[in-house]
Amino acid sequence: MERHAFADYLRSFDYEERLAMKIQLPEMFDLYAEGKAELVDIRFREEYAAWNLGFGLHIPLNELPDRLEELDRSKIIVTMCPHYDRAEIARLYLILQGFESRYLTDGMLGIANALRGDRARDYMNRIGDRRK
Amino acid sequence: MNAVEIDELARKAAPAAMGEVRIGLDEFIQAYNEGKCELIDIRMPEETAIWQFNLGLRIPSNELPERLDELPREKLLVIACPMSDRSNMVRSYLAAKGFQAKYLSGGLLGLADRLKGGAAKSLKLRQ
Repeated sequence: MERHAFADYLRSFDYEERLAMKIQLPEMFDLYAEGKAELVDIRFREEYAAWNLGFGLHIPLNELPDRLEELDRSKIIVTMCPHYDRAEIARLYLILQGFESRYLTDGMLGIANALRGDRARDYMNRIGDRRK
Repeated sequence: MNAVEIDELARKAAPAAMGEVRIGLDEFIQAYNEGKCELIDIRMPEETAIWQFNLGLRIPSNELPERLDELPREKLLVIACPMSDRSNMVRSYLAAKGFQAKYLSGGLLGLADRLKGGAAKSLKLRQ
């Protein structure tokens, strides 16, 4: 059945979907601050242990199939990894599971780079109690 | 710090001496795993709140002059910020104070990139 859904997804893949599958930092920052998106770090546990973000969820990609109930279906699920290759896999899986999902093209390294110095302060103030 | 120490630092700022000033990512990871160095994240509290490394000490650069007693004297101090501008500055300060210190070349952004995927296992985290 899932294979059928995957085939249907590919059949429907068009220029619009090619854009809709991605999200860039400015829009992600806005949607997360407005409570319209959830961020999911899908890196392995060893990677998370080395460093992590102060907001969003952590569900390793290989645990995602068994932890779907932790995701809020009313929100856009933004998947992320250091760059974007694994995030894209996670996003595809979530789409086939009926979620609205987009992958962060700028990656977690993009977030870390974007939120340096006063920009870190300003965004933490903006998201307020949504921080960990 | 006094002027003599700063003068001495300036005299050492030659290409051949830069190995004493900075440490590369792989060299840092090896030294950290061997317990020979400590990472000092000198970013502001808001920065460490938004993304943090789960190793080393977090001492914002503007608090450092009052918190020197928290720094281990027996280890190499590896000073880090997102890139390497602030860490280089702080490294100079600590060197002038008599600490063994280098700044992390490549910065925390480089370290985060270096520790992606299976490479994260190359770091042996101490609890």
